[in-house]
Amino acid sequence: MKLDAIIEKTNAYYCLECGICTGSCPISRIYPKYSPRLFVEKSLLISEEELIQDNDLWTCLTCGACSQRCPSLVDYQDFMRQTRSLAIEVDNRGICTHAGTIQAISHLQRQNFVKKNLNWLSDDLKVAEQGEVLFFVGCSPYFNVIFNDIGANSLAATKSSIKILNAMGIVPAVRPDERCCGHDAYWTGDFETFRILAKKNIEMIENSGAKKVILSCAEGYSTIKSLYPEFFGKLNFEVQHISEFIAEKIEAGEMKFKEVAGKVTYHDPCRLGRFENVYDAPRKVLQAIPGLELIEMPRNRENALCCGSSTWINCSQINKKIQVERLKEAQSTGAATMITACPKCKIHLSCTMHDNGFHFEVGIKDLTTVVAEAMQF
Amino acid sequence: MPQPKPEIIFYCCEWNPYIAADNAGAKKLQYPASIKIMPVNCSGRITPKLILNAFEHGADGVLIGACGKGECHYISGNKTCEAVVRETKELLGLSGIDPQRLGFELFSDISGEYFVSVVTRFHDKITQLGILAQKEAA
Repeated sequence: MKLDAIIEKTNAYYCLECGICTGSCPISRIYPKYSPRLFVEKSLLISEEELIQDNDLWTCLTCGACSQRCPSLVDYQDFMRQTRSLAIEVDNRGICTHAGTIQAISHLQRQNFVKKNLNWLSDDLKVAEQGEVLFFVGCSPYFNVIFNDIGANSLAATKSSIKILNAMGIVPAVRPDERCCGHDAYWTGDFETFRILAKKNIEMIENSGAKKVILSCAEGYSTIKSLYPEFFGKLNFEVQHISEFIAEKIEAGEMKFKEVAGKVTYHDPCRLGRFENVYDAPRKVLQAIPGLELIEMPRNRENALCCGSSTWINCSQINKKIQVERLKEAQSTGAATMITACPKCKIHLSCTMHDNGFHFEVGIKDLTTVVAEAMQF
Repeated sequence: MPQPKPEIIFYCCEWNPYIAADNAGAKKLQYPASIKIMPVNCSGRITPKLILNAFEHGADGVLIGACGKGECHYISGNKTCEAVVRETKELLGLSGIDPQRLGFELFSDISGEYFVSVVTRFHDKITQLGILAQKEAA
């Protein structure tokens, strides 16, 4: 898509220059040189060639805080994504964090010979090759290896999710031919890779005979639920986030919890909250656990602050400062644990917790881990 | 039909391992033609991405040559590399690629004979494991 078409598609031409976006942008608060308003203005004033050379293209977190409040309904995320797809054609790619390992893993999965090893599944977890319900594992086994040093323990959420499904009498299909969902490829403008991965995943889900796909990852959920139909038309299966599944079971009275004393706060992942409007399900789940007190952070739901980094690109001091701000906010509530429903939020915030010179009273846990611990069979 | 030959990428530290490779050339020693040498400034420069990309683009094996223990020209590059190899082996295993396809070799000996013995041994192992795209897709 050319820049003119992008401006047309994303309503960028309707920008009123009100600056609400820049006021909402977590990056702009710390790094005033970057401004969503200015970026949209620039796209209207300067040439396409100049715009796509701009490195600030990769500074955007695509968290959606700006579009949420824009009175002219400019889709800034889409604008960024489409402009990024032009930028990668001229090799303006942003700086990959973790030496590009995560992008390389995603790219590797485009090849047919990749067949995932499921040896991380412990004996107490029951899974099948086929089934009515498919559990989409995502990148967590890889994250578990890469982020072992910061104690992110990404597999804990995955294992807890399968445990919860098993406890509800479901033996989910977990497939070795599953691929990366393509979220990062899509948001970095690499639509070709996204298409290849998404096509393979849709085939995989159809081969498993699943009518419902459950994910414990907010990004994967948003990608499969909203982006796959955008590219490939209506899907023959339902997509559900594990928090929605648990909330449904609680409502039906099928899930019982033992008492867990403690104060917690909930961090809304951008993909689950602002993108998919799943605000209530995780809160309902936490409130259903007796003894657990949920205290909201000052910025919650659609106003939640981003975890500070996305798509494994351009992580710098700016991103670190956002994470510190979020952790301090969580700490100010007096909660002992911050709960999130996205493995990446957990990794990014754990990373800051492990940095030298910082000490936070608050811990971080995934929603599914809390549920699996409190669940009574 | 002749059996397709495996493709092997050899990320080779410019110091000990490359001196050994150079020595093999000077001595006109024979070694398998499937070994493609990619010199790098130091084995510590190698990242999981370089290894994973090699597999994605058709390599059947990746061999990494580092300087011997305590001999790294930049103090600890070989130790860094060892940790990267350990991590990458786990990542390869998760993607269903046999971790044995990634080899790591320390070069204290800088003779051409040693270089030839290392690459021949690795080549034989990869030949035994087969072509990646055919083997692991089955």
